[in-house]
Amino acid sequence: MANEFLKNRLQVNRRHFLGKLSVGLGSAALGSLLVPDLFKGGKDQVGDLPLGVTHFAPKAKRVIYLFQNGAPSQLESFDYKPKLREMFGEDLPASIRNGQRLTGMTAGQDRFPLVGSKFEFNQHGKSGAWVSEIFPHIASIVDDICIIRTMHTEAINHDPALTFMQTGAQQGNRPSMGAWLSYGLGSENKNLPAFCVLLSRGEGNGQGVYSKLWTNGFLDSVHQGVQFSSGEDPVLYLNNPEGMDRPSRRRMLDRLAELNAKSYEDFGDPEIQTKIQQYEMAYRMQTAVPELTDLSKEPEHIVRMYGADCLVPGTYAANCLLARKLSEAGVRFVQLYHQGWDQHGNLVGEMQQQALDVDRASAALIKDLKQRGLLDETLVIWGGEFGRTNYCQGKLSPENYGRDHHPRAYSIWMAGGGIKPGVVYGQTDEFGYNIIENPVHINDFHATVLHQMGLNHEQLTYKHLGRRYRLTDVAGEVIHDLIA
Amino acid sequence: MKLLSRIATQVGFAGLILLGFLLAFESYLDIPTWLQPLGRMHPLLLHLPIGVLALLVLLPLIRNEVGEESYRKVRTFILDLGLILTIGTSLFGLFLAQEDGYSSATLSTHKWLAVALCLLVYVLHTWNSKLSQNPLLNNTVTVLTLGVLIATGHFGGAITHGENYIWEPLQTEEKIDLAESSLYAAVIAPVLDSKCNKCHNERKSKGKLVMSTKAGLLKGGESGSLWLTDQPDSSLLLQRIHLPIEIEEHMPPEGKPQLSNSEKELLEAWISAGADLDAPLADYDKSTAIYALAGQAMAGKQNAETKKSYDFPAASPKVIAALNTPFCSVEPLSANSPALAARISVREYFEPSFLADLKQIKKQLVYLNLTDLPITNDNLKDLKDFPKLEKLILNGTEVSGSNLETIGTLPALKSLALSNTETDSSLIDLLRKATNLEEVYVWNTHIDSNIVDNWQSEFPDLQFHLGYQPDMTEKLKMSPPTLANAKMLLQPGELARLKHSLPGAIIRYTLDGEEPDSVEASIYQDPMSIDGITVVRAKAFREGWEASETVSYTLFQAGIKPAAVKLLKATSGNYRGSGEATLVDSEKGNASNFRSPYWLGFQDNPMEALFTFEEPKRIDEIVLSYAVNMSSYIMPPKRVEIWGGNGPDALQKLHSSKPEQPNKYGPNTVEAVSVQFDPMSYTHYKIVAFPVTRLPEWHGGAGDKGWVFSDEVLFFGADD
Repeated sequence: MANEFLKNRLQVNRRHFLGKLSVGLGSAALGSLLVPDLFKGGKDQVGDLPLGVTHFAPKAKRVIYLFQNGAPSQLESFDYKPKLREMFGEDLPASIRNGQRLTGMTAGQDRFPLVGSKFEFNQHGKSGAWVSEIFPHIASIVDDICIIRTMHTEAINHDPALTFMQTGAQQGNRPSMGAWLSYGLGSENKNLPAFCVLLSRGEGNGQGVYSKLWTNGFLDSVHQGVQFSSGEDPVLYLNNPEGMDRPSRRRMLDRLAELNAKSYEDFGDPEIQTKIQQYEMAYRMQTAVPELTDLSKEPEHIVRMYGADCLVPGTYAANCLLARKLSEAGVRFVQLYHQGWDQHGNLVGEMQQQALDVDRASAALIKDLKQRGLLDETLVIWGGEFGRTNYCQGKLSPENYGRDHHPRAYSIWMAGGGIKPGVVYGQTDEFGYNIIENPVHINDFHATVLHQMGLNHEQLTYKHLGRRYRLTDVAGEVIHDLIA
Repeated sequence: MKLLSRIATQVGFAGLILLGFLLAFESYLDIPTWLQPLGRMHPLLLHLPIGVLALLVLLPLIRNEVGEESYRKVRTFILDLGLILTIGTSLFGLFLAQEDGYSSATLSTHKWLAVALCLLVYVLHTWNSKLSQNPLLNNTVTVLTLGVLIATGHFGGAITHGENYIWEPLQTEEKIDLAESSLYAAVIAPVLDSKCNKCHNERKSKGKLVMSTKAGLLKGGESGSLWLTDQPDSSLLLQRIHLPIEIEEHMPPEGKPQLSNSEKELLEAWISAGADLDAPLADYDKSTAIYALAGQAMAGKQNAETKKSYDFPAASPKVIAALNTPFCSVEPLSANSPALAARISVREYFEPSFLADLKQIKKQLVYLNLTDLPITNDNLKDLKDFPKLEKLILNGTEVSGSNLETIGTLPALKSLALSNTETDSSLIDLLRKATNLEEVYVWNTHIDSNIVDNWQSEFPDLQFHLGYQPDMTEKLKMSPPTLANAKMLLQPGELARLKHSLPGAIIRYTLDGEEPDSVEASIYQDPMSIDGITVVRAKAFREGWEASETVSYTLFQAGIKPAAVKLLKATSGNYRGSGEATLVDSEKGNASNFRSPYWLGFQDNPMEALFTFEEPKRIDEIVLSYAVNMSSYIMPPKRVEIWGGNGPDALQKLHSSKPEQPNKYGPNTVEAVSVQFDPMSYTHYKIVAFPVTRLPEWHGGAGDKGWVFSDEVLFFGADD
């Protein structure tokens, strides 16, 4: 793979070289005369670092990102605020809100009545972390995870927030985290995509996910996330059609590769190389994928661990199990999305249901990685795109309420991959509204994830439209206090 | 030129007198505030005389080239400039020296060297023409000046950057024996060294505080003692480090490297525990915070010390490239590291030769992942002389306990994963050989907690990971059965199929809307034929498991397809589905995914759709399928009207129906209203469905407008 990267980069070099000479036949000819020397030059001008190789020794080799899409409430999960219960129905003090902009959904509300969690909180594990009663299984692994209560973002609506969390920018034209890692590190198993995407949906009010979240952006299209289908066949059209056997498929691909190689010689378009590689990988995936996605051979105690849903394709539990199998087989970045966490109303009922969907399987994934000796080399991330307001949206009653979007503070957790276990990081004020200690911005979060993968976020760059781009753009600092 | 020379002569003379005067009365000096900025410009200005005077030495190099006259003119110019700058810089330096924190032997040396330099430059300047007649003397004085210049600069640099500054990167850190040394020396002093002592040392003691020595720490600075052991919270040091960074008294000052949170915690715990400068870690009570924090910090250090910076020779890039095949990946641990990590994948393509090939990199391989490959103990012989291998993953392979000891001789092996294999208690032979092994993973093997308990006494430092052991008596809830049909709309002749993926599950179902129970309800065995709209309610059961939730699928049979459909009123929002044809495309949606192309959404207008047949159709039942997703304000229609006629303008209302409205939140479902009537023949039928105008009181959006979402309208009737 490193070799493929090198070829690709050399290709980029030549194009840069030609681009820099002023346009014209003469300069092009001169350029092609000089190119062989460029190949021998070795040192790469575009970025000084080889791709497919980490900048320093990594803590984690793989990432599994359990994205809770729609923004689960931090106040009903990991950020315990008893004060909000005491102040039930009282208005949010203006000094706390401090000019925070509102969404169109609550901007018209004349009151912002505070409401505390309907669910009880208890302390768990040696770390004594507070976890809500609707996450009993996650509570049982608090000593293996690091809860960050002080994530914050600038975005206030789902689409930009989600895009920010996934790509480091609110506008959707940048490569996703998984694409950056595929670009920076390549694949550990060349028979599977380096970046896989699994979707599931809960009963709660949902927000859509779309392929721009797992886009390769301006990177080569081999780095795009491959979406697995939630149906019986996780990878569509992978089986040979009727009447086509494996040897004839092989012959067909060989001839096709010859034709493609010829047109690559003529045009030099790197996308043709990508195409050849993708055909080859798809051929090998025909064997590699069925080995992995066959859940029927899982022993019953695995089913008991992840919950019975793990055998029903398309559920969060099944995706967690599949994520473990993909990651175990060397997929660099497995991205899950579980939709349905947007509780503007009926929070109590919906959140309970959503928690039921994800709690057992999320915890099972951590335990399962741990018992295979893989947790120390796999970074697992659990969380949404922003938090939820400490005041009620819509009708407030002691039994039920809703919460609007809140960008200033929210909770996520990470586990494994060299992240400090059994830690609760950061503190919000007693209203759960503002951060008072140790904020973690999305850029910082990205920098830290890349750091754990052995990459310096300031050095993993790609030149596009005349400037170098990073996942963290021009900001972000590694949060060393999170690192074991 | 002449003017400059005259100024230089006078400034030089006056400056020297002033310098002498100030030096003589230095102890009485009190620099007024307005002069302090001049003093602080000393570190800026000092580069000028250094540069200019260095030119003086280099000038003879071009003497022949420029000619004698030019040479002399340039030399005079350099001396003029040099004298003014040297004396000016020295005066400013003297001002700076009066500020706090500069009192040490280094400063004194620097000061007197600077005075000597001033005198030498003055001599060179004043007796320039005389000296040039005696080249030997001239050169001697010039070289001497240069020597003094370098010495002055060096000692000046030592004051700002510390004496060790230049050679520091080349020095290896002093090894501290963590078990023997005091806790202060092991964990506290390094923090102070890296974050405080640059400004608080014996040479530069800002605020008259020296933190690089124990005596200095105990003495404190001009603001008082650093800590109060009886009131640790009011300790000056802790107050200063916890102030917000914007406040001037915050330490370390803004712009300097800051203390990390763990460093702050460490200092706080140490001061609370009495700030002892000599006690070793063993003297602290194990329950104290400082014991835990210092333990962590020391462990971190030891890790860093023992962490190998791999120093063996790297493998040839050609060998690595050749080993990288689609089924084997070999990559360096990081750029510039000779250590390699390898993984072999895809069970079906595995060849034992893949392992044998790895011998080419046996001196570099530190990590090997062989998960799920058909590897037996025999294959492992190829691995027995990999001297650097630290982590070996054999999960899901076909190895077993006996004979495994071939890999026990791997000298560097620290972590061995054998989960999901047939490994048994004969693993003990391997454990006895593998002296460096730190952890072994034996989940889902024949090794259980009894065996591990026995072994633990023999291998007290070895970590056994037995993993999660499920409680097989726990009654877990089953997942509900699923519908195996691709669509909820069944084509003629298509049978409804249910399934469950847990082996041994029993599916019971009803078709009459009743709750399926574990006794009466029919057991599903064969695919079923379905009539009209049928609600299949099904539930899964199995011994030892809690029955699943009841799941309900509303199945529709494909109806008579109209020739055209037209929406008379627009949809609301962006919920346009796939256009008007959405209603007759035989595609059913999912109520949770109402944004999908299968749904049309209406809020401001009622849904009003006109269906046209090419010739009059005998119809006796019309079905409107709709979504219920209450938290998204999607309710059953308040009222549904059916109109019919032989032309768009000849419609008359045939029927009207009011679907039942829910009275509390429930799951998201697809429901349908079926309107049956005596058979009628028309070419045109119009369906109108009115959204709820005010959501009910129990709803979170009480009083707001509701939505109607429909995915399909079906027509049934006989063709005769």
